[in-house]
Amino acid sequence: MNWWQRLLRRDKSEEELEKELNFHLELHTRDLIAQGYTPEEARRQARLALGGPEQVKEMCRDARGTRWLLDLLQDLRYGVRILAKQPGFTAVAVLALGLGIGVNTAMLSTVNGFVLKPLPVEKPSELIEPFWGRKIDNQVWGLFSYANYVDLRDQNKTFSDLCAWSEISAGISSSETRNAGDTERAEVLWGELVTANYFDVMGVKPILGRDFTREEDSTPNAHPVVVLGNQLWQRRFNSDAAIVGKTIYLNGIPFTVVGVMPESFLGSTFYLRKAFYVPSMMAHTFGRRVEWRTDRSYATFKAYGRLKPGVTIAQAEADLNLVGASLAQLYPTENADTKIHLTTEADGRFADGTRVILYGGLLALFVSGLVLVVACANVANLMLARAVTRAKEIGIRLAIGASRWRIVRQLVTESLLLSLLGGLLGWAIAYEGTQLIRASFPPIPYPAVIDFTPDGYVLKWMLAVSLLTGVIFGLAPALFASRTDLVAVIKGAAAGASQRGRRLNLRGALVVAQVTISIVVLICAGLFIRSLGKALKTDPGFRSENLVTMMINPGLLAYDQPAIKRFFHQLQRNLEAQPGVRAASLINEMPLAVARISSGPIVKEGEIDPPPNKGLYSDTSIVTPQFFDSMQMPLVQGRDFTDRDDAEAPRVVIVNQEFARRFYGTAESAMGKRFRFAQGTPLMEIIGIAKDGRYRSLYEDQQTYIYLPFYQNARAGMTLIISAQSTAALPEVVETGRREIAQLDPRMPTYGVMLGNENMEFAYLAPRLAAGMGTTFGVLALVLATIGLYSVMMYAVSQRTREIGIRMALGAQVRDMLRLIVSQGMRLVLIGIVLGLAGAFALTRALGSLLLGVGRTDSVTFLGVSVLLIAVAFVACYIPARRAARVDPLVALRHE
Amino acid sequence: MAHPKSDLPQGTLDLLILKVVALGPVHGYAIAQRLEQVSRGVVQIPQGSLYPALHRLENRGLLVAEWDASETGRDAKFYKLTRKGKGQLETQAAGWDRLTKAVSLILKLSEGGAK
Repeated sequence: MNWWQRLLRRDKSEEELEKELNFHLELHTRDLIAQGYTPEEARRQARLALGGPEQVKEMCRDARGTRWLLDLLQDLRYGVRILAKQPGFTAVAVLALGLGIGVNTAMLSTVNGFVLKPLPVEKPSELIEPFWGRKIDNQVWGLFSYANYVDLRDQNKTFSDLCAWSEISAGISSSETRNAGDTERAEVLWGELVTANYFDVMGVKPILGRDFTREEDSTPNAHPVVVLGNQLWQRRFNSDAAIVGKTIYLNGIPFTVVGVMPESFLGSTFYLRKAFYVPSMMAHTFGRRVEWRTDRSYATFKAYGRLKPGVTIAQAEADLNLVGASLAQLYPTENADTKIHLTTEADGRFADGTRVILYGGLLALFVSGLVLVVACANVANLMLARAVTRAKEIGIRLAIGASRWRIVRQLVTESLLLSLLGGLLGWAIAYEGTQLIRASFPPIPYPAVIDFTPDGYVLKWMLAVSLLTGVIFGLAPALFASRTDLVAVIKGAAAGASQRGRRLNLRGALVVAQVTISIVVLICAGLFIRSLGKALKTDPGFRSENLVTMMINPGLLAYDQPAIKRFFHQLQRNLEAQPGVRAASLINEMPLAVARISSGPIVKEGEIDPPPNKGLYSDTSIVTPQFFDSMQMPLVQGRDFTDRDDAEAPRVVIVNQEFARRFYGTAESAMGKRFRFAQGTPLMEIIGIAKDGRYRSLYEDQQTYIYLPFYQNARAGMTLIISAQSTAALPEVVETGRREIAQLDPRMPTYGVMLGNENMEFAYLAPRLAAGMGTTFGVLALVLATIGLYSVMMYAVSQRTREIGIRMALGAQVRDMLRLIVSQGMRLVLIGIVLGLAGAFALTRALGSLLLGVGRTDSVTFLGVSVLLIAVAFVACYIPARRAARVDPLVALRHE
Repeated sequence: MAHPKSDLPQGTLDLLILKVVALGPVHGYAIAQRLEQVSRGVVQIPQGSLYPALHRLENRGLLVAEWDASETGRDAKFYKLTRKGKGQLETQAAGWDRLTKAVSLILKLSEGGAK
């Protein structure tokens, strides 16, 4: 029997115990009668021999090990009664804890959604991701060419299996051309090219049909088969159970459906839900070059693998590098300096550049943790104050024989009750909070998986945090309370004069800690608000309010280079002729959006290539003529690209002012100069200088920038920019854009449509989130600390009523009393502020680049926060002081 | 009886109970009786500590109890040794044996005979 079973059967076992002891008494009595005792005497003797029945029973219960549970139930019952009797105290404590736990849970859920949630595959922690790199680049990890992947897969000795996958996109339709009702044609579906062993490595089986056979992934373009993602199947095919065997069209090419994946399966990435999977041999159909299978420099695949039992990551990494070294020897042109790095999938998520997301998340967790500490301090403070008022009750319980341990346990049980109630409230707050955070994200042109809803993992942590806070804020006051001076209490001295000073000091220390933390959190908030303000004021270098942008990729439909150029050229011409359109152009990636390209090293005419790992790079965009006009980004010197700057014409380039300054001193001297990228790219002549702008983030120091002409550097994936004549015309212009694209090729999908200032949303995301969370945390910390200070002052005043009364009777003025009380509270506040400023100074030093463009010791923030806190604290002290000063001496003297 | 009644050394009660129960299913009162008879009154169990001991042993899985008709015709709680209890009895008995032998050896040392 388990203790809980025993508990459920408590009545039964009690009954049995009674019966067993009665049986004993009965037999003993019978024997004694047989020995000649009178029945009455025999019964008495038998009872004496056994001992008091209640004591024996109690000892038996102890022996059965259910004792602690009975005590716990008793404590809980008592605790509930006590809490219900003081609804004000309970409400404040639960609210404080609920807010503290709530913001922490919301933050943890968010970070969990980004960082921690495992990929929904079999044993996700054992899914290993190899990265391909070169020894000279320290932190740059890239993709595998198919040929290299195959050699690694076949020659390694440590993987039980290694698969490869590559992200692709396509438009879907039910026939070769777009039909009415094929709404998905307007968007792009994301899918993956996968090797035949992919689903085995992931350990996920289709819920309908099958995955790919080896045969289907052995000959290029021979087997147009597809496995569908669950959401696509539900949405487009209404969960058709007979889908297997039917034909769908991807980019206008017929594919036979062979299977459907389960709903939980996202594909290879945790942030993007994939709609379909095709064998890697179909790569050319999805725009990969014809030589994708053989060209070792054409790296487009990522890999996942599972290790053989007992093999460590380090061993496998050494093994793959052995294979890598032999590949480097065999194919030195493509594979020289090969280095392979292995991590688990989760560890590989935030390699190099995106690390800042991780740090931002951890910072938010840390700050929300501080808020929880303030909340705990608050509740501890309330508990301490209450312990004083309960001293009498506790004293009596001690006096009638309760052990100190028992009292402590009772008090801790009460705080655990509080913290669990707080946890419950926190859960609700967290749930709403995560929806709010989710809603604050701008539209993302991808089927992103952003799910911050608290899951089981978060629930587990939150429960642990609730219980821990319960013990932390409950234990110290409980230990204090249980040390009550018995005699003093029972004599009626409220708390024992000797104890008062110490308690007040502890409470004072808690207030100081609260103020300190509040200052730190508020300063973080202040810095983030300043940083958002700076972002909103920063001129990005272009005007976004009249822009419509949408992404197009003729490569999806296997257009070749001349066709791509023809398509975009025609599209631009047609759009410019439409009403409502001021200008139209194309760029490969919008500035301040997600992706970017860096080019270099930059070599001026007449100079030689810098040694490896040296030299300067610059971010680069590929643009068509009219780009600068449509972005309203003026050229300060020279001319725009024209249609004649094509592959036959001399190479030309436009740079920004910073580039001209850095490489040639001034814009004037840069004009007409020529430079190239290392490793033999042809020289390009600078024909224009563009005004400086912001490219990666609104906070960056002024960066150099290069614009390359599209017709000399054509590529398939481009963003169409249409500048409308007015903001009012935006919706109409979107339709115009879609219509003109369909006019040229009805199969052509568009995606990622952004109107007007939506083009800036991504740039504002980080500062908005930081400022929003910072403010929430800051206000919470401030409110909690103020409540803490207020309650301490009220308590101090109530303790000093008598003293105040005497002073007043002796002629002290109201003003003196106010000064006395207020200065007592403000002393604590000032200590807290000094400590807090020092803490914030240290913390902001550590934050560095996370502060998004605001000086670490931004004096406005530091000063402003201090003044704010002093003002609020003054009010929190003044109200109790007023009350004290209004004390009627007569009443005060009769106080006790 | 000339000999004074002995107090039970710590932990011996469990061993004695296990031994008595090992002889067959038996109820609490009979255990007390048997212990007293067999030890010829030297060992007298305070009855008040017998039942907590029984419940403790049951809780530790050394004994199992079953309700069954007794010699008086009324249902009584009969204790039986589990396999775990049997093992425990053997190790404890062996331990006790070694201890008593050692103790009596020491007591038999003649004065000054210790080297």
